[in-house]
Amino acid sequence: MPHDQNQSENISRDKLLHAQEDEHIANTISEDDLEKIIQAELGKQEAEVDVELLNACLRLHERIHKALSEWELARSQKKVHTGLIKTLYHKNNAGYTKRIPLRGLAFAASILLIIFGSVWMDRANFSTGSSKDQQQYIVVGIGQNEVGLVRADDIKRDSKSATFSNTKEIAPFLGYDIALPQWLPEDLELQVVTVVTTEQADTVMLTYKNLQGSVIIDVTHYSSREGTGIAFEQDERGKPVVLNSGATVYVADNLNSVWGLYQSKDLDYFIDASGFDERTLIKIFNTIGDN
Amino acid sequence: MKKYKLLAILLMIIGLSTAVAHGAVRASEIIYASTAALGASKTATFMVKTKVSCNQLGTTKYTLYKKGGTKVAAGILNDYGSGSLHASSVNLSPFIQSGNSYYVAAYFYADGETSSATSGTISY
Repeated sequence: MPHDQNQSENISRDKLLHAQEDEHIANTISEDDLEKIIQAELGKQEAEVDVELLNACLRLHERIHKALSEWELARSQKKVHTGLIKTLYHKNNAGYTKRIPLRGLAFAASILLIIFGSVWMDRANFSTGSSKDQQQYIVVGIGQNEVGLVRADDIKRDSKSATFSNTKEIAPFLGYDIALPQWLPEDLELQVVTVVTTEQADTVMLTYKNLQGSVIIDVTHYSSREGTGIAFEQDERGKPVVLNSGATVYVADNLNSVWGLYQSKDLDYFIDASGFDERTLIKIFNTIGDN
Repeated sequence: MKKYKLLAILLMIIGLSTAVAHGAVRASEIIYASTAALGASKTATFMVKTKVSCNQLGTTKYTLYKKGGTKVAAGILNDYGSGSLHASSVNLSPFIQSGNSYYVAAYFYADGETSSATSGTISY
Protein backbone atom coordinates (compact mmCIF):
# COMPACT_ATOMS: atom_id res chain seq x y z
CA MET A 1 0.00 0.00 0.00
CA PRO A 2 1.52 3.39 -0.89
CA HIS A 3 1.89 5.36 2.32
CA ASP A 4 3.71 8.54 1.43
CA GLN A 5 1.33 10.28 -0.93
CA ASN A 6 -0.64 12.19 1.68
CA GLN A 7 2.07 12.60 4.28
CA SER A 8 3.78 15.82 5.06
CA GLU A 9 6.40 16.19 2.31
CA ASN A 10 9.35 16.40 4.70
CA ILE A 11 8.60 13.45 6.96
CA SER A 12 8.97 9.84 5.91
CA ARG A 13 6.85 7.02 7.29
CA ASP A 14 9.96 5.34 8.74
CA LYS A 15 10.96 8.50 10.55
CA LEU A 16 7.54 8.76 12.16
CA LEU A 17 7.58 5.14 13.28
CA HIS A 18 11.11 5.46 14.68
CA ALA A 19 10.18 8.68 16.45
CA GLN A 20 8.11 6.67 18.92
CA GLU A 21 11.30 5.15 20.28
CA ASP A 22 13.72 8.00 19.71
CA GLU A 23 13.08 11.22 21.56
CA HIS A 24 15.57 13.15 19.41
CA ILE A 25 13.70 12.27 16.23
CA ALA A 26 10.36 12.95 17.95
CA ASN A 27 11.54 16.45 18.89
CA THR A 28 12.15 17.29 15.23
CA ILE A 29 8.50 16.64 14.31
CA SER A 30 6.06 19.48 14.92
CA GLU A 31 2.49 19.23 16.17
CA ASP A 32 1.32 20.83 12.90
CA ASP A 33 3.02 18.11 10.84
CA LEU A 34 1.45 15.39 12.99
CA GLU A 35 -2.00 16.95 12.64
CA LYS A 36 -1.59 17.19 8.85
CA ILE A 37 -0.73 13.50 8.65
CA ILE A 38 -3.56 12.50 11.02
CA GLN A 39 -6.04 14.48 8.93
CA ALA A 40 -4.64 13.04 5.68
CA GLU A 41 -5.08 9.50 7.04
CA LEU A 42 -8.60 10.30 8.24
CA GLY A 43 -9.40 11.68 4.79
CA LYS A 44 -8.79 8.25 3.25
CA GLN A 45 -11.30 5.46 2.87
CA GLU A 46 -11.24 3.37 6.06
CA ALA A 47 -9.69 0.37 4.28
CA GLU A 48 -6.82 2.55 3.03
CA VAL A 49 -5.93 4.11 6.38
CA ASP A 50 -2.37 3.27 7.44
CA VAL A 51 -3.29 2.25 10.99
CA GLU A 52 0.32 1.80 12.14
CA LEU A 53 1.25 5.28 10.94
CA LEU A 54 -1.94 6.80 12.40
CA ASN A 55 -1.29 5.16 15.78
CA ALA A 56 2.30 6.44 15.75
CA CYS A 57 1.12 9.98 15.01
CA LEU A 58 -1.55 9.80 17.72
CA ARG A 59 0.96 8.60 20.31
CA LEU A 60 3.43 11.34 19.38
CA HIS A 61 0.62 13.90 19.42
CA GLU A 62 -0.51 12.66 22.81
CA ARG A 63 3.06 12.90 24.12
CA ILE A 64 3.24 16.55 23.06
CA HIS A 65 -0.11 17.23 24.73
CA LYS A 66 0.92 15.88 28.09
CA ALA A 67 3.31 18.83 28.38
CA LEU A 68 0.68 21.45 27.44
CA SER A 69 -1.09 23.88 29.75
CA GLU A 70 -4.90 23.74 30.03
CA TRP A 71 -5.24 26.76 27.70
CA GLU A 72 -2.86 25.34 25.12
CA LEU A 73 -4.66 22.02 25.34
CA ALA A 74 -8.08 23.60 24.76
CA ARG A 75 -6.73 25.59 21.79
CA SER A 76 -5.14 22.51 20.26
CA GLN A 77 -8.29 20.42 20.79
CA LYS A 78 -10.30 23.06 18.91
CA LYS A 79 -7.74 23.14 16.10
CA VAL A 80 -7.74 19.35 15.61
CA HIS A 81 -11.51 19.21 15.87
CA THR A 82 -11.91 21.92 13.19
CA GLY A 83 -9.42 20.10 10.96
CA LEU A 84 -11.29 16.83 11.31
CA ILE A 85 -14.63 18.47 10.48
CA LYS A 86 -13.04 20.07 7.40
CA THR A 87 -11.58 16.73 6.34
CA LEU A 88 -14.94 15.02 6.71
CA TYR A 89 -16.68 17.89 4.87
CA HIS A 90 -14.34 17.57 1.89
CA LYS A 91 -14.66 13.79 1.97
CA ASN A 92 -18.44 14.06 1.97
CA ASN A 93 -18.39 16.44 -0.98
CA ALA A 94 -16.17 14.24 -3.09
CA GLY A 95 -19.24 13.20 -5.04
CA TYR A 96 -19.60 9.53 -4.22
CA THR A 97 -22.19 9.87 -1.46
CA LYS A 98 -24.75 12.29 -0.07
CA ARG A 99 -25.40 10.40 3.17
CA ILE A 100 -24.50 11.80 6.57
CA PRO A 101 -21.01 10.36 7.21
CA LEU A 102 -21.96 8.58 10.42
CA ARG A 103 -19.11 6.07 10.15
CA GLY A 104 -16.69 8.90 9.49
CA LEU A 105 -18.00 10.92 12.41
CA ALA A 106 -17.81 7.90 14.71
CA PHE A 107 -14.26 7.25 13.50
CA ALA A 108 -13.32 10.89 14.06
CA ALA A 109 -14.91 10.84 17.52
CA SER A 110 -12.90 7.78 18.51
CA ILE A 111 -9.72 9.42 17.16
CA LEU A 112 -10.47 12.52 19.28
CA LEU A 113 -11.02 10.24 22.26
CA ILE A 114 -7.70 8.50 21.66
CA ILE A 115 -5.92 11.85 21.27
CA PHE A 116 -7.43 13.55 24.29
CA GLY A 117 -8.78 10.68 26.39
CA SER A 118 -5.77 10.22 28.60
CA VAL A 119 -5.23 13.96 28.86
CA TRP A 120 -8.81 14.46 30.02
CA MET A 121 -8.44 11.81 32.65
CA ASP A 122 -6.43 13.72 35.24
CA ARG A 123 -3.43 14.11 32.92
CA ALA A 124 -2.19 10.92 34.54
CA ASN A 125 0.95 9.04 33.59
CA PHE A 126 -0.69 6.33 31.51
CA SER A 127 -2.04 6.07 28.02
CA THR A 128 -5.34 4.78 26.69
CA GLY A 129 -6.93 3.94 23.35
CA SER A 130 -8.67 1.20 21.41
CA SER A 131 -6.90 -1.74 19.84
CA LYS A 132 -6.51 -1.72 16.04
CA ASP A 133 -9.72 -3.71 15.58
CA GLN A 134 -11.44 -1.54 18.19
CA GLN A 135 -12.37 -4.65 20.15
CA GLN A 136 -10.40 -3.79 23.25
CA TYR A 137 -9.95 -0.61 25.25
CA ILE A 138 -6.27 -0.55 26.14
CA VAL A 139 -4.75 1.10 29.17
CA VAL A 140 -0.98 1.09 29.54
CA GLY A 141 0.80 2.23 32.69
CA ILE A 142 3.72 3.72 30.86
CA GLY A 143 3.11 3.86 27.13
CA GLN A 144 4.89 1.20 25.16
CA ASN A 145 8.20 2.43 23.80
CA GLU A 146 8.40 5.04 26.50
CA VAL A 147 10.79 4.52 29.36
CA GLY A 148 9.71 4.18 32.97
CA LEU A 149 12.73 3.95 35.24
CA VAL A 150 12.38 1.35 37.94
CA ARG A 151 14.83 0.27 40.61
CA ALA A 152 15.48 -3.41 40.06
CA ASP A 153 15.94 -4.03 43.79
CA ASP A 154 12.71 -2.33 44.76
CA ILE A 155 10.68 -3.77 47.62
CA LYS A 156 8.92 -6.92 46.50
CA ARG A 157 5.35 -7.19 47.75
CA ASP A 158 3.92 -10.58 48.48
CA SER A 159 1.10 -11.71 46.22
CA LYS A 160 -1.92 -13.01 48.08
CA SER A 161 -5.59 -13.59 47.40
CA ALA A 162 -8.77 -14.31 49.31
CA THR A 163 -12.51 -14.59 48.83
CA PHE A 164 -15.11 -13.19 51.23
CA SER A 165 -18.88 -13.26 51.52
CA ASN A 166 -19.22 -9.65 52.72
CA THR A 167 -17.52 -6.27 52.25
CA LYS A 168 -16.52 -5.85 55.92
CA GLU A 169 -13.53 -8.15 55.47
CA ILE A 170 -11.94 -6.09 52.68
CA ALA A 171 -10.40 -3.39 54.87
CA PRO A 172 -8.73 -5.74 57.41
CA PHE A 173 -7.24 -7.74 54.52
CA LEU A 174 -5.91 -4.74 52.57
CA GLY A 175 -5.12 -2.53 55.52
CA TYR A 176 -7.24 0.32 54.12
CA ASP A 177 -10.84 0.91 53.14
CA ILE A 178 -12.24 1.50 49.67
CA ALA A 179 -15.25 3.61 48.71
CA LEU A 180 -18.05 1.59 47.15
CA PRO A 181 -21.28 2.71 45.41
CA GLN A 182 -24.03 3.61 47.86
CA TRP A 183 -26.80 2.61 45.45
CA LEU A 184 -27.39 -0.57 43.47
CA PRO A 185 -30.50 -1.82 41.65
CA GLU A 186 -33.10 -3.39 43.93
CA ASP A 187 -32.68 -6.99 45.08
CA LEU A 188 -29.06 -7.28 43.94
CA GLU A 189 -27.29 -9.60 46.34
CA LEU A 190 -23.56 -9.86 46.91
CA GLN A 191 -22.36 -13.24 45.69
CA VAL A 192 -18.64 -13.07 46.36
CA VAL A 193 -15.80 -10.66 47.05
CA THR A 194 -12.42 -11.58 45.55
CA VAL A 195 -9.29 -9.72 46.62
CA VAL A 196 -5.90 -10.15 44.96
CA THR A 197 -2.74 -8.23 45.81
CA THR A 198 0.26 -8.24 43.49
CA GLU A 199 3.51 -6.34 43.19
CA GLN A 200 1.81 -3.54 41.24
CA ALA A 201 -1.73 -3.35 42.58
CA ASP A 202 -4.53 -4.47 44.89
CA THR A 203 -7.67 -5.65 43.09
CA VAL A 204 -11.07 -5.99 44.72
CA MET A 205 -13.84 -7.59 42.69
CA LEU A 206 -17.43 -7.70 43.95
CA THR A 207 -20.08 -9.72 42.13
CA TYR A 208 -23.78 -8.95 42.68
CA LYS A 209 -26.75 -10.78 41.17
CA ASN A 210 -30.53 -10.68 41.02
CA LEU A 211 -33.14 -12.20 38.71
CA GLN A 212 -32.69 -9.36 36.19
CA GLY A 213 -28.93 -9.61 35.82
CA SER A 214 -25.59 -9.03 37.50
CA VAL A 215 -23.25 -6.19 38.41
CA ILE A 216 -19.50 -6.48 38.86
CA ILE A 217 -17.59 -3.79 40.70
CA ASP A 218 -13.84 -4.00 40.19
CA VAL A 219 -11.64 -1.57 42.11
CA THR A 220 -7.89 -1.58 41.50
CA HIS A 221 -5.50 0.45 43.63
CA TYR A 222 -2.04 0.76 42.09
CA SER A 223 1.18 1.12 43.98
CA SER A 224 2.69 1.63 40.53
CA ARG A 225 1.16 1.66 37.07
CA GLU A 226 4.58 1.28 35.49
CA GLY A 227 4.74 -1.78 33.30
CA THR A 228 1.03 -2.55 33.58
CA GLY A 229 -1.18 -3.01 30.52
CA ILE A 230 -4.90 -3.78 30.70
CA ALA A 231 -7.21 -4.76 27.84
CA PHE A 232 -10.93 -4.23 28.43
CA GLU A 233 -13.14 -6.14 26.00
CA GLN A 234 -15.57 -3.98 24.02
CA ASP A 235 -17.56 -4.17 20.79
CA GLU A 236 -16.29 -1.19 18.80
CA ARG A 237 -18.40 1.39 20.54
CA GLY A 238 -17.05 3.45 23.41
CA LYS A 239 -17.62 7.01 24.57
CA PRO A 240 -16.81 9.34 27.45
CA VAL A 241 -19.65 10.18 29.84
CA VAL A 242 -19.42 12.95 32.43
CA LEU A 243 -20.62 12.13 35.96
CA ASN A 244 -22.42 14.52 38.35
CA SER A 245 -19.08 15.20 40.03
CA GLY A 246 -17.56 16.33 36.71
CA ALA A 247 -15.36 13.24 36.49
CA THR A 248 -15.34 11.38 33.16
CA VAL A 249 -15.95 7.67 32.74
CA TYR A 250 -15.34 5.71 29.55
CA VAL A 251 -18.47 3.70 28.71
CA ALA A 252 -18.68 0.78 26.25
CA ASP A 253 -20.66 -2.34 25.43
CA ASN A 254 -19.31 -5.88 25.65
CA LEU A 255 -21.92 -8.05 23.90
CA ASN A 256 -24.39 -8.79 26.70
CA SER A 257 -23.29 -6.08 29.12
CA VAL A 258 -22.48 -2.39 29.40
CA TRP A 259 -19.46 -1.22 31.35
CA GLY A 260 -17.81 1.95 32.58
CA LEU A 261 -14.28 2.78 33.65
CA TYR A 262 -13.15 5.67 35.82
CA GLN A 263 -9.43 6.22 36.22
CA SER A 264 -7.33 8.46 38.37
CA LYS A 265 -3.58 8.28 38.83
CA ASP A 266 -3.65 5.41 41.34
CA LEU A 267 -7.18 4.07 41.15
CA ASP A 268 -9.49 2.35 38.64
CA TYR A 269 -13.21 1.84 39.16
CA PHE A 270 -14.61 -0.60 36.61
CA ILE A 271 -18.30 -1.53 36.70
CA ASP A 272 -19.90 -4.07 34.38
CA ALA A 273 -23.70 -4.41 34.28
CA SER A 274 -25.38 -7.37 32.57
CA GLY A 275 -29.15 -7.04 32.20
CA PHE A 276 -29.13 -3.32 33.04
CA ASP A 277 -28.92 -0.24 30.84
CA GLU A 278 -26.38 2.58 30.64
CA ARG A 279 -28.52 4.88 32.83
CA THR A 280 -28.38 2.35 35.65
CA LEU A 281 -24.63 2.00 35.23
CA ILE A 282 -24.11 5.77 35.43
CA LYS A 283 -26.43 5.98 38.44
CA ILE A 284 -24.21 3.45 40.23
CA PHE A 285 -21.08 5.43 39.33
CA ASN A 286 -22.66 8.64 40.62
CA THR A 287 -23.05 7.17 44.11
CA ILE A 288 -19.43 6.08 44.61
CA GLY A 289 -18.13 7.78 47.71
CA ASP A 290 -21.58 9.17 48.68
CA ASN A 291 -22.20 9.06 52.39
CA MET B 1 -47.64 -5.09 -3.83
CA LYS B 2 -44.47 -3.39 -5.07
CA LYS B 3 -44.22 -1.56 -1.75
CA TYR B 4 -44.25 -4.85 0.17
CA LYS B 5 -41.56 -6.29 -2.09
CA LEU B 6 -39.42 -3.20 -1.57
CA LEU B 7 -39.97 -3.42 2.19
CA ALA B 8 -39.02 -7.11 2.19
CA ILE B 9 -35.82 -6.36 0.24
CA LEU B 10 -34.97 -3.52 2.60
CA LEU B 11 -35.53 -5.73 5.64
CA MET B 12 -33.34 -8.42 4.07
CA ILE B 13 -30.54 -5.90 3.44
CA ILE B 14 -30.79 -4.60 7.01
CA GLY B 15 -30.77 -8.17 8.34
CA LEU B 16 -27.75 -9.13 6.28
CA SER B 17 -25.79 -5.99 7.19
CA THR B 18 -26.60 -6.54 10.87
CA ALA B 19 -25.38 -10.13 10.62
CA VAL B 20 -22.17 -9.01 8.91
CA ALA B 21 -21.61 -6.28 11.50
CA HIS B 22 -22.29 -8.71 14.33
CA GLY B 23 -19.88 -11.22 12.80
CA ALA B 24 -17.12 -8.63 13.03
CA VAL B 25 -17.62 -8.16 16.73
CA ARG B 26 -15.08 -10.06 18.77
CA ALA B 27 -16.01 -8.76 22.22
CA SER B 28 -16.49 -11.38 24.88
CA GLU B 29 -19.55 -12.78 26.60
CA ILE B 30 -17.33 -14.09 29.37
CA ILE B 31 -14.10 -12.08 29.70
CA TYR B 32 -14.25 -8.40 30.61
CA ALA B 33 -10.58 -7.60 31.15
CA SER B 34 -7.10 -9.08 31.02
CA THR B 35 -3.92 -7.64 32.48
CA ALA B 36 -0.21 -8.13 31.86
CA ALA B 37 2.26 -6.41 34.15
CA LEU B 38 6.03 -6.44 34.40
CA GLY B 39 7.34 -5.39 37.78
CA ALA B 40 10.48 -3.96 39.32
CA SER B 41 11.30 -7.38 40.78
CA LYS B 42 11.42 -8.81 37.19
CA THR B 43 8.29 -10.82 37.89
CA ALA B 44 5.46 -10.79 35.37
CA THR B 45 1.89 -10.91 36.67
CA PHE B 46 -1.03 -11.94 34.48
CA MET B 47 -4.69 -11.63 35.38
CA VAL B 48 -7.94 -12.53 33.64
CA LYS B 49 -11.33 -11.32 34.89
CA THR B 50 -14.75 -12.62 33.85
CA LYS B 51 -18.38 -11.55 34.01
CA VAL B 52 -19.49 -15.01 35.10
CA SER B 53 -17.99 -17.65 37.32
CA CYS B 54 -15.92 -20.02 35.15
CA ASN B 55 -14.98 -23.63 35.58
CA GLN B 56 -11.59 -22.97 34.01
CA LEU B 57 -9.83 -19.65 33.55
CA GLY B 58 -6.22 -18.59 33.51
CA THR B 59 -3.10 -17.78 31.52
CA THR B 60 -2.13 -20.02 28.61
CA LYS B 61 1.22 -18.55 27.48
CA TYR B 62 3.42 -15.48 27.54
CA THR B 63 6.24 -13.91 25.56
CA LEU B 64 8.90 -11.53 26.87
CA TYR B 65 10.16 -8.92 24.41
CA LYS B 66 13.06 -6.53 24.51
CA LYS B 67 12.05 -2.95 23.66
CA GLY B 68 11.89 -2.78 19.88
CA GLY B 69 10.19 -6.15 19.51
CA THR B 70 12.98 -8.74 19.82
CA LYS B 71 11.64 -11.92 21.41
CA VAL B 72 13.66 -12.81 24.50
CA ALA B 73 11.73 -15.66 26.09
CA ALA B 74 8.43 -17.45 25.78
CA GLY B 75 6.66 -19.99 27.89
CA ILE B 76 3.51 -22.03 28.11
CA LEU B 77 1.93 -21.53 31.51
CA ASN B 78 -1.44 -23.27 31.34
CA ASP B 79 -2.06 -22.05 34.87
CA TYR B 80 -5.79 -22.32 35.53
CA GLY B 81 -8.26 -22.02 38.34
CA SER B 82 -11.99 -21.51 38.72
CA GLY B 83 -14.16 -18.50 39.58
CA SER B 84 -14.19 -15.00 38.10
CA LEU B 85 -10.62 -13.88 38.63
CA HIS B 86 -7.36 -15.69 38.16
CA ALA B 87 -3.84 -14.36 38.62
CA SER B 88 -0.57 -16.02 37.63
CA SER B 89 3.00 -14.86 38.03
CA VAL B 90 6.30 -15.82 36.43
CA ASN B 91 9.83 -14.97 37.50
CA LEU B 92 11.55 -13.58 34.41
CA SER B 93 14.74 -12.42 36.12
CA PRO B 94 16.97 -14.97 34.29
CA PHE B 95 16.05 -13.28 30.99
CA ILE B 96 16.11 -9.62 32.06
CA GLN B 97 19.40 -7.75 32.00
CA SER B 98 20.07 -4.43 33.65
CA GLY B 99 20.38 -1.56 31.19
CA ASN B 100 17.67 -2.88 28.90
CA SER B 101 13.92 -2.29 28.54
CA TYR B 102 11.33 -5.06 28.24
CA TYR B 103 7.61 -5.74 27.88
CA VAL B 104 5.56 -8.91 28.07
CA ALA B 105 2.51 -10.18 26.19
CA ALA B 106 0.15 -12.83 27.52
CA TYR B 107 -2.75 -14.94 26.29
CA PHE B 108 -5.70 -15.94 28.41
CA TYR B 109 -8.47 -18.54 28.42
CA ALA B 110 -11.83 -18.61 30.17
CA ASP B 111 -14.38 -21.37 29.51
CA GLY B 112 -13.80 -21.46 25.74
CA GLU B 113 -13.04 -17.77 25.16
CA THR B 114 -9.60 -16.21 24.72
CA SER B 115 -8.05 -12.80 25.19
CA SER B 116 -4.64 -11.14 25.20
CA ALA B 117 -2.89 -8.23 26.88
CA THR B 118 0.47 -6.49 26.58
CA SER B 119 2.27 -4.82 29.47
CA GLY B 120 3.93 -1.44 29.39
CA THR B 121 7.68 -1.22 28.77
CA ILE B 122 9.97 -1.10 31.77
CA SER B 123 13.66 -0.23 31.96
CA TYR B 124 15.93 -2.07 34.38
